[in-house]
Amino acid sequence: MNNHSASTVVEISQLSRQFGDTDALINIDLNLERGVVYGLVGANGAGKTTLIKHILGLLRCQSGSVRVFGEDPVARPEAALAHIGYLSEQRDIPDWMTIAEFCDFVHAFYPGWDQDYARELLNTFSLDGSKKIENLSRGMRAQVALIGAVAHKPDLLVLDEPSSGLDAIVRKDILNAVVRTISEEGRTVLFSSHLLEEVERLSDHVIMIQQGRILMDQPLELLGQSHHVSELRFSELQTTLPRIAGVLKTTGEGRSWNVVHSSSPEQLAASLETLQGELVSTRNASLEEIFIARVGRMESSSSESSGAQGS
Amino acid sequence: MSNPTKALIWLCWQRIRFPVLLVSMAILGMTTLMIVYLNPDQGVQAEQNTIIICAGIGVFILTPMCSSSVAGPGMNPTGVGFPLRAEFAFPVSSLRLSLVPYVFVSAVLYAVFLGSTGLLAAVFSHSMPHPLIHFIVLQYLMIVMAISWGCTNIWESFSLWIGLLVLFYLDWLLPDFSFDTQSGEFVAGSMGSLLLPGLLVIGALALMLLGIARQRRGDNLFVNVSEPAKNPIFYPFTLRLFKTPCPTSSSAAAWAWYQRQFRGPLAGAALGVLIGTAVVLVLTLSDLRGFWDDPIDLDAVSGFAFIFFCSVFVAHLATVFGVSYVNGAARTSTFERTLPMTTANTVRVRVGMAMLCLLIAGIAELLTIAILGPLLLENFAAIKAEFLQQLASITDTGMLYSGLRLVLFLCFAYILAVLYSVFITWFAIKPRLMTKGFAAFTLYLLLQLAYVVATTEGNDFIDATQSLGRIHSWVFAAVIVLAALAVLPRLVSNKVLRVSQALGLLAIGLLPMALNSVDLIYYEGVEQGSSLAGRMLRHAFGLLPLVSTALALWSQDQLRHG
Repeated sequence: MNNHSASTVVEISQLSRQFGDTDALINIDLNLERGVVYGLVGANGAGKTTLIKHILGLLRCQSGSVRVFGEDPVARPEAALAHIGYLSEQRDIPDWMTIAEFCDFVHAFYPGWDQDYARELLNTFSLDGSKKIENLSRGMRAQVALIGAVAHKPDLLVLDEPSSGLDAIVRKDILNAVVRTISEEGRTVLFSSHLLEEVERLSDHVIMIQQGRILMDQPLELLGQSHHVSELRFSELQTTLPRIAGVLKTTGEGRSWNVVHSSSPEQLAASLETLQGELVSTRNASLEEIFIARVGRMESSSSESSGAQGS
Repeated sequence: MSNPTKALIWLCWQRIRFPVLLVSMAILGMTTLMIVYLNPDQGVQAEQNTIIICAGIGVFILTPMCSSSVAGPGMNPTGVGFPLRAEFAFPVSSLRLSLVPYVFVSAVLYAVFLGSTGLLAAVFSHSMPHPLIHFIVLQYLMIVMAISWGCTNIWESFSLWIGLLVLFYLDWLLPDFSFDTQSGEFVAGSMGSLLLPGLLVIGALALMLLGIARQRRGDNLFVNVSEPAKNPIFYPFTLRLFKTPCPTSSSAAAWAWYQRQFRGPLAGAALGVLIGTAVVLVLTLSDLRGFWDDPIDLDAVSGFAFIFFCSVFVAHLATVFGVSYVNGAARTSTFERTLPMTTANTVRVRVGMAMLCLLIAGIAELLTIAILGPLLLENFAAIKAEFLQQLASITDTGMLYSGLRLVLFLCFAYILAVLYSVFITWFAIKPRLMTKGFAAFTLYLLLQLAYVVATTEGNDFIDATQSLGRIHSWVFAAVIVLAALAVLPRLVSNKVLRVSQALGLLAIGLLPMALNSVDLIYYEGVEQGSSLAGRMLRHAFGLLPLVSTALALWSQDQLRHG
């Protein structure tokens, strides 16, 4: 019996995964809602692809559970995958087919396949259906794989590093023309990327993952409002900045410092008063600044703790 | 790594170590099994021949495996020759780049043959095999590697193989030797007769060096090309001329179309015709060359037909479950794994197509031999008569019995094909684990042998091995039954099968067991005169179709869901 919420597309509960001695995912709790574009960001090896593989049923849960449209994607892959369009980082599609054969083949698996939309995309990308996939460039392969992933109008579109190895024009085709179109139709998109500007431009919601844990899971708008970059000035020279609540990252020297912080500007200004400092200016932080501040902070704290263990 | 030569050797060893270790263990294990357990009372000469044949088959299989692991089809989409394109960028000469791996792999393969035959000869207290055999083995593996590395495409490779056949026909390829059936030794006419075959190996080597140097700058062996060659050999039997459009009406039909491109009826027919033609050609050429003392008989034809069939399908069945090699690493296609189909349906179509391909290939091979045989083989009428007589001896026993034997034969082929596919799939995915397992099995056999040799003499040796055989028959029978009992519930708990489907599979799986038992009890009469353990094992064999199917489903599930 499927009792999942109608608006919830993916429900992940207490998901953990180990590869040998390495914890790839640790107690992940995550819900993806209908009609939202999710950007999944994290450093290399953070666990993004492992998380996506669990959603697609390519990995069995070692502990916890994953439900996609109320179905277990491992127990009933045919039911879960019927709702998903997936573009893998490797553009892993059969080389020996022609583009037209590939479209026909994928069509057979998805009753919702929209032949007109597929043809429209082929025209948009200037692809010749009679060409064999093995003769295509990397960018063209990505476009063909993308047609296979989106032409059946999936309820959930999963893109794993869609921009990897692509030039700016193909990237624009994929991200602007497709992701937005899909999400505007009330469908959900989950895409992982290293290109944070891209995530910032397209996402409604950001999931930041690091060392197998979800670091942040927030709407992009809230994320920008809750993180700021501020310029500080002190009356005395400072060799290192004193510890200030909410400050995630500091740069600067002497009297002038810049900080990325998750506290409000008012809270920061109050804290500065006791340190004989003042808040010169403040603005909302970009996703890249938040990512570097958060992930860098986590990495430095984990290396400190391992260093402490080592000593 | 202190220099490029050591680095190239290290790289080669990383790529071939698991097949080399596995096949070495297989040669030792299988030879021991055959000599000690299966035919313990055979003579010294037969034992020597068993050692040579097992080691020869091992090296025969290993050579293409290694030459393609280091440099072969599937490694790189842009060519089938020496495709280590990353290595092409190394700042080393083409001579070193090609010669170092070539010499190293040749040495390793030759060491496998020399080591295994030497060790087995020492264990069984026989003389070492005749040096001429070593020469022929070395010549074989050097030529195969030279051709597979030097060629860039299927046509070059094909023309060189044809050239070799011509040389063989002209008596230039192999040294002038004879086989003494009494002593079991190969005898060379003279040392001078080794000169020409030796020069041919050097010629092949030169051709390979030329081919690699040309590949390095983007050309084929014989032709200058403006673009890198595409890979035309990876799936040579797609048969585009007969290709039908992919059906879009159902996922099962589309999946069957997809599988048909690799191992469908047309691919099977083409393979069968090819193998049948090759069998007749090789027999004709060897007959013209005077290789056979007596006229070619049915045993020779069926033996060649079987070996050619198996050697083609060793490669063909290796990818049934969707595992392929890319850049030297085994991988499964994410595209195939994310198609919205049940795992059971995926397996049903995959295995069904593979079996259909095998069946049609077998029939096509038989028909090709029947058509070409009278044209090329002198005494084909006698061979045909002998074949029909043997067929009649089965069909004359009645419709029921003939039908039963046919079903059991098909079950046997199914078991062999599926178990081999499962084994090779797991070897691709977990080479270290599988090699360790095989090594442990071989070590166990050798220890058993050492124990029997150390504790018995004369006739006691045969009694002791028979006693061990009885014990192991019980063990194998129990393993078959336990495998069925263990895997089926696992398939249900992993949701690969519903309970009703599992029960259906069990019911169908018990049918071959019942037929096998009927055959054993009523027709073969093995219930008399054989040990209880042996009888139980042969009855348990009837469960193997069920076990094979369950293992196929379990393997696909593991591959799909990690």
